[in-house]
Order: sequence, then structure tokens, then C-alpha cells
Amino acid sequence: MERLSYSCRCALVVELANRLRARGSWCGETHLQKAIFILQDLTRSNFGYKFIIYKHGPYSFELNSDLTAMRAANIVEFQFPREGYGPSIAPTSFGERVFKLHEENIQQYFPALNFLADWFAASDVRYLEKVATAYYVTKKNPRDPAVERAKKLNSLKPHVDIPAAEEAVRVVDEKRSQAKLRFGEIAA
Amino acid sequence: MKQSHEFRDPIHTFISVRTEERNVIDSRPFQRLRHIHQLALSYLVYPGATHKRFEHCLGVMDIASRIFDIVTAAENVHHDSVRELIPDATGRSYWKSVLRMAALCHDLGHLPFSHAAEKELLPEGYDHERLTKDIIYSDEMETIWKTMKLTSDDIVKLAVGPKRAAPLQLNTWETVLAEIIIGDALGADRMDYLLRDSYHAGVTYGTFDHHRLINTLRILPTTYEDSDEPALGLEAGGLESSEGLMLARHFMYKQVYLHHIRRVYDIHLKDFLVAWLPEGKFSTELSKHLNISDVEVLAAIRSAYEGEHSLQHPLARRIQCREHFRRFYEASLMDTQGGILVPGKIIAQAAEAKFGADNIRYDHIQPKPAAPIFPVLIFDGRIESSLQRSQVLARMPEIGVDNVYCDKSIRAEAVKWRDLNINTLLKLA
Repeated sequence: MERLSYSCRCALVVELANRLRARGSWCGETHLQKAIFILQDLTRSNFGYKFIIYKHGPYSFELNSDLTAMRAANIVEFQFPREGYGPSIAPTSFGERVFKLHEENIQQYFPALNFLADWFAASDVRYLEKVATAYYVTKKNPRDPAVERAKKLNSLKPHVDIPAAEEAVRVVDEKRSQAKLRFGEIAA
Repeated sequence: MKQSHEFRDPIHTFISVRTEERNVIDSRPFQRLRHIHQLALSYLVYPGATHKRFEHCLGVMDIASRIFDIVTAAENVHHDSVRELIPDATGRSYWKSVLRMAALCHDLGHLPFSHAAEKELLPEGYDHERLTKDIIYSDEMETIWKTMKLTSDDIVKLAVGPKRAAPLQLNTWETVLAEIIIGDALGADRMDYLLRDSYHAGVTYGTFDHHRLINTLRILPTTYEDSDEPALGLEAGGLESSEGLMLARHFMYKQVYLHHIRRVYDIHLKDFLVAWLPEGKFSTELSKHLNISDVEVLAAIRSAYEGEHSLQHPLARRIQCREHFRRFYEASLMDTQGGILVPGKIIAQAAEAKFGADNIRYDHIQPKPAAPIFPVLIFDGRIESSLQRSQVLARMPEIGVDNVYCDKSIRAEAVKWRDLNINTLLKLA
């Protein structure tokens, strides 16, 4: 499958950020990283992002490069709405133009974007880290019982204790079932 | 018998190694680094930049080792999640050895002339990190790891980091250790290459107060993101040193690493290698990899230049006689306003159609993250994001490359053509 073009990837990130922000999200890089990790899997798409366990769970250096390029091209910008916290990522007016130019080509992702924005908008990094890592472990070990997956999560992220890991695995199983029902054939 | 040995070094004065570590330095893969230029053909622009990967790797080991001692010292650990992360004395001793060897070996897989055109010159799926892994796992190195009681998997994890270690996965502790070596924000690799490259290139922008920076590094929970995950950060007192590091990096990228002539020499070198190497690629067989360094490539360039009938003669001439291509287009932010996000590519394609592909070369590098985010421990005990705490870091501009070059003989014509066609090609008003 051919990789989604850079312009379309930019449009996709702009729209995801817009949908997260419209629901009141902080929309830091962690929100975008974890949402796009699951989006790529749910829609079985090729954004060209390889995710490995790194900062707060699944993380793509390629996505980080794209975000850097988007910031350099003035498609998104950093904002600092709260003292002491990391940056929030917001589309610029030029970013909105880029989205408009490519909106047609990314429409098929809109239902999944809504699903993920609803799921992640109100979440903090602690929650995103738990569930995204649980999703990663589940994807790698789909046949393992929940207890085993929770143990794997805990071994990768020891600061997530076993009860919290078990809860994260339960949430992921539930969300994956919902995704299957909502997106049918495109769901993993 | 003496168990500790020193190398004199222009950056760190003395670098100490233990006898068993010297076996790694004396190994064939490591000795090969004496013949790999750290900055490829940059010496054609900055004549002093002839230093090699060998001394850089020693420097990275030295800095990484100092960072390890600082961040694991009991008086520098203030949070439970970090305390739980750091192993006991036996574990610390083991991981310090692993860290030193990983730092020493992190560049073993480099092709001749370091980074130049690695993607095009290796088979699909290969890069220098994969070759580094293969070397660490080789019989010669495994014998050394066994005598040192180290596990090669652990060395690989820290040497290539989480991005390249797959299928190995790094836990949080291992991730922090890998950050100490190759981390974008505060890694020893970056500290050493900035200091060393600026020293040799004669570009003083690369210096910063690395002693202060190293002394203020800490492992801190990333509470500014509402997370307990520990990461490499620093105490607020070191913030200015980290600003110095990022500014040094910014200037070194602008002045040295992404210098337009240095970049076009990388392209000319790639053109030569594609023509010279069997099937246009370097071998990934370790014995062949270890047998080729800058020395063999320079000899081949010289030989092709002297043999006027050699097929590679015109390509060798560009390097040997400094007949490099000239830049005639450099993208600016204004050029993207028509919605074309990578304008150099469009200009290069149109220029190839107009002047012929042999006369045009295109160079693109996606912008590098300007200033990575890391935790900063404030005097009152709070932990903040570096970008929130430092206006300098928050405002650092990203640097990328989007240049188009042409043969020297057609530059004036190419510039004229560019000025006539740029608005149409880039859909600018």
C-alpha cells in the first residue's frame, strides 16, 4: 500500500488537532502520537509511521519529524496555555488552508477521527500512556489473556502498576469492540 | 599490572579506559573508525575538519560515563519513581559497563564517509545502525563481551536506541540510558560531536558549558505532562547550559552540517559511489564492510580521476578538482504559500526537464526538531517543561534543507529560468 502523501498527512494532523481541540483537549504531541498510532491501525492505513515503545508508550519518530516539519512550515504552532506545562499544538491559518486543499483526500478518516477525539480529548498523558501501551501490547499479543497483557504493560512501563494496567487493557478491549462495530470491515 | 589507561584528547584532555575495555578499542571494527571521517567531505570546505569517528566514540563514552555517575548518585535522586528505577550497586556497575561499551560502539556500522547517502548506498532495510548491531553480535565482539560478562542484547539496546533496536524492546531504565548516549536533547553523542566538530572545523559556535550541563543532569518524572514516567532532564541551574547546547547545535547545522557546498559534495560522492560500487551498493557482509573505509574510497576517486578514460572520471573530477555543482534555488517559507509544501522538489523536476537530469541535483532534508522537550527541576521542587521554562528553547527555529543545484556552466541561465518560472511552478500569486 502506498504511503499517504506528506500534504495529506499534514491535512490529517490539522483535522485531528481541530477535532481534539473542539472537544476541549490540551492537544499536546502525546495526544497526536497516541491517536495516530491507533488511527493507523484501525483504518489499516499506511501513513509511514513506525511505532515503538518510547516516550509515554507507542511513539513514532517519523511522526515527530512530520510535526517538526509542519511547525517549520507554519502549518501548526506551539501554544503554552498553562504555566509549567508542555506545549499544546494548534493549527495555523495556513494549516487550515492546507487542510482545505486536501480535505477530499482524507474524508474516509473522519469517522475514526471522531471516535479517537471523543476517546482522547479529555485525557491526560498518564491515561494516554496506559491505554496506548495497552493497545500496543494487545496488537502484538492478540491471543494473550488480559492478565498476561497487563503484566507485559507493567514490564514495559513499571510506573504503571498491575491494577492500572489491567484497567487499561479492559478499556482497550472495550474500545476495540466498539471500533469493530462502528467501522466494520476497516476495524482491526 | 596497570588496569587503567589514558588517551590524550583535545576536547576532554584525558579519556580513561580499563584494560578489558581496551580489547574493544583494539578490535578490528573499532580500529576501522580511525579511517572514517567524522564529517565526510566537509574538509573540502573547512580544511581542519579531518577528524575521525575513532576519537568521537571515545569522547561519547567518556561523557556518557560522567553523566551516568551524576544521575545515579543518591544525592541527585529526589523522586520515588526514579529511585525505584535505578538498580542496586551490582546492577549499577553492570549497566555502567554496558553504557560505556554501547557508547564506544554506537558508530561501528558507519559506511565510509559517515552519513553520506547511506539510504541510497545500502540495500533496503539496512542503515548504519543495523550494521552496528550486526557488528556487536559478531563472533569477534561476542568473545569480548563474554570476558566482560556483558550481554550483547543490552549493548545493542543502548547503542542504537529504541528506534532501531527492534525486535528488542527497551524498558524505561534502558530508555533513559539510551537517552544518555544518543538522546536528541541531552545525549553524550550530541555533546561530543558539537564540541569536537566545532574545534576541528574552527567554528567556535559549537562550544557550550558542557561541564555545567553534565553536572546538572537528573532523571526526573515528567510530571509537567501529568505522567510519572522518568526521563533525562536537568536542574534549573543548568538551563542556560542547555540553551547554549541548542544554540550551538543551531549554528553548527547552519554553518557546517547543512552548509550548501558540503551538502553538494555528499551528492557528488554518492554519484561516484553508485558508479563505482558493485551494483551501486555497499556490501552488508561484515567482512566486506570492515575492509572498506574512506582510505579505499579516496584511492578509488584518485584512480578514476587519473584515468581519463575511466567511466567514473567525470564524477571523480567533481570532487578531486572542486568542480562541484552550484546552488541556484533555496526554498523559503514564502514559496510554500501556494500550498506546495516541498517547493524544491517541483523546481528540481522542472529544471531537470529544461536542462537535463545530469545537470541538476536536488537536496532535501526535513527540518530537525529545534529544541526537544525535557523535564526541568525548579528550585521549589516543581518540574516544568523545558520549553515552558526557557523562552530561548521555545523560540529556536527549525532548520531544514530544500536546495536545487546545477552544473557550474549553466548557473546564470538556471537563475534566469528560475526567476521567470517560479511563480507559475509554485502557484504563487
